[in-house]
Amino acid sequence: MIRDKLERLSKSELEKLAREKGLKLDPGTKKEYLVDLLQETIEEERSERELDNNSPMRVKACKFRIIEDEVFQTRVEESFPLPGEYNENRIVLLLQDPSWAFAYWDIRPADVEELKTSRPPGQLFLRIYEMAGTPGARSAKASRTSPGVDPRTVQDFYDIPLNYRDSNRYINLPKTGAYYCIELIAFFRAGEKILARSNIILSPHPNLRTEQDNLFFPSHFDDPQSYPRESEIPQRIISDTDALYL
Amino acid sequence: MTKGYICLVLHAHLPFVRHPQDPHRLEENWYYQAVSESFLPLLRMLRTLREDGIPLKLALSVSPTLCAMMGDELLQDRFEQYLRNQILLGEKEVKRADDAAQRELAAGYLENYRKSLGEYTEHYKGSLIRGLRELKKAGDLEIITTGASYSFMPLFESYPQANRAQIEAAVISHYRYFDDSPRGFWLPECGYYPGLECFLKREGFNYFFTSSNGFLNADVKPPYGVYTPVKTPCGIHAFGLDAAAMRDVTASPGGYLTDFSYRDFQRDIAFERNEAYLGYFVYKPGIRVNTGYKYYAKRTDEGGARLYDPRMAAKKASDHGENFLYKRLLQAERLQPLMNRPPLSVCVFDAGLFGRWWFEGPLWLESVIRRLHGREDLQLITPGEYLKLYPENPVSVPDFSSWGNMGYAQVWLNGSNHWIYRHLHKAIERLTEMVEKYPHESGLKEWVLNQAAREVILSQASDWPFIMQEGFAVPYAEQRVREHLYNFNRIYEDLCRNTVDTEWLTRLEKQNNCFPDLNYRIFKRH
Repeated sequence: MIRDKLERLSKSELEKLAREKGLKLDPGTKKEYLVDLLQETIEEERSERELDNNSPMRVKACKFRIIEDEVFQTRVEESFPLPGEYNENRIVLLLQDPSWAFAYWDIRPADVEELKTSRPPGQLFLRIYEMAGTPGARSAKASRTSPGVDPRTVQDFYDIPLNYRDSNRYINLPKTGAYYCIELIAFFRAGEKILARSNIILSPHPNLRTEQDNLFFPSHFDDPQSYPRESEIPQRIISDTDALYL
Repeated sequence: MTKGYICLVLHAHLPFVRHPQDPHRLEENWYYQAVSESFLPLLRMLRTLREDGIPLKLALSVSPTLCAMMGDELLQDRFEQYLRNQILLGEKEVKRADDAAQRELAAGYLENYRKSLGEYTEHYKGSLIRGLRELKKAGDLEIITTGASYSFMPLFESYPQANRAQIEAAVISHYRYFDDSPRGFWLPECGYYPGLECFLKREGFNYFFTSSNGFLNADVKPPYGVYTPVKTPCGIHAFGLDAAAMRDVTASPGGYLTDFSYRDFQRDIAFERNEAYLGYFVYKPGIRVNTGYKYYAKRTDEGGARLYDPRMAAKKASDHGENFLYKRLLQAERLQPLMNRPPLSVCVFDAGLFGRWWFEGPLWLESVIRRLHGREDLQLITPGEYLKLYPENPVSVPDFSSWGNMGYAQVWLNGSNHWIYRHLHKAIERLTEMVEKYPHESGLKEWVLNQAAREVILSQASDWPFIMQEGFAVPYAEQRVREHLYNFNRIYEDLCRNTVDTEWLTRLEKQNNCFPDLNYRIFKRH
């Protein structure tokens, strides 16, 4: 069925679909080859997804399966355009799991221009602050009144260099049970300028499981098929040394 | 003597999908199939139990978006049409059946759909809400609620007004459909972070549910794990999910629903008949939609196709009900000596699992409830009843968690969907800004602002990032997020310019008509 549907698409639709799936194509790629390639990719993706999902997610996915195969519609971004930028400096940090967070940011075009035109050109960094946590006091109050970037609470920090066009990044959190905050920093010859500071997140501190815990805390996640694979990690961070200068 | 309690919770949810301008919209089938294959059979089973004098003692979460669809006249009419088409197809199937066994199966489906149509049009008068209210009246079915558009709340932690709005809008919606305030809250996808419970408490909730890893990593490890609820410092209770018990049912491989006697969900006649024959069930050439007519049992390890045997499957569902209780009793006997009271096993299932994917699911559930009736060693209990019996529980605050893969936010925040949060968060900021700028509006401006709030809430549905990461119906999910954000941004920009396109807004309100009682001020920053 997948093949039938792919064959119904025009070559330009297939190329668009391939691009959306991150496939690299040579200029003269033939339609038949494109169909083969996409079929293989789609089947591989599907089988990976099915293996990755735990029971509640498999059940949920099933609710939306009303046809045998995916509909090969390509995206229609132009129908409802969203702002490309919001003309402000801001950075937001979201916790994905105890080891990873996701940061996205916006920089005012004027600030990007200043970075580009200064001599030598300014550098852009993310500075990740690790701050003292309050293990054992993760009450609502503790969460909402977590500390700011106070030098007295900062235990460690490191920088990640960025390109001007970057707008998001996954960040490996070195320690669980710690608070994290990020600053978006422009680095000029004359010194640093903080463009934006993120919210503060607290990385959960997983408790060690005892034998009795296996009895009292049954897990959804003990299926070996659900464990993450290396390829799932969205990106690697650049080491602190590399981060000093591009 | 009671050795253990079982608390069964069904959560019923679908995102709001309603396209008045498109009479044959593919994605509306999510709703039609769920109603036809799951909700109507479940309601029928519950009514039968009630008629037999068996107390239901279930908690049922019905999401506000699902309530809105159940109560919507356009979708009610369209669903009736869908059911009539299932019946028409069934009549053709009975005629064309290859042999007596297949004919009997087709006739069985046909009879079920005819029964459903009768119940739907005559008993429920087109609204399943009527059926739910009727079941609730007897007092032993606890109907609870969930986030207004089922947003994954931990990813909005920095915007507490958004999470409060999801909760408040859900309470208002519940009141509209069920005439009372809900006491229990099903956190969408079990997504929890410390502090969220206080928003629930403020809205009058007594309890919510979290996943077992949230319990394991609580600030004070609960002494009896998930087998008693915990009381958070702000006074609301959290029930932990018994993943071991739930796995007995849904694990793949190994769960009851994977048994070879059961019907194969995948093998639908939609993919075996020609398109002209299928008619209504062909969305467009090449895209055939499930019809509900499925004649084969699940494939065995050897892979051979076998005709489905409903009698054998019913017997198996009953056996699995018995086995489930046998395992719970063993579990209770093992846990009770280590505890100061009988353990409570909380099992939450997606209502959409029963009937549609797991065709025999309603029979299994009926078997469990019937077998528990009058039994002393194991008792069915609702969360509300349990808290009346045991109002004092260990004090603890669960940790950030969900019931998604790996237990955190990976499903709703990854490379396939992270782009949405930049825009969703900005929309919340802008709406909050408008609430501060226009705190006491009435008339036209209030109407405009209410629609703005509606669009923001709809854009936050966790179903869209879920679908994006699942890889099917992605263009639709992306379009829905974009569309709601676009609508909101257009309203925002119009208000900034002090103009209003009333014609466009009227159309928009007619299309996205859920949460009719919404007040934009719920996005106020406290």
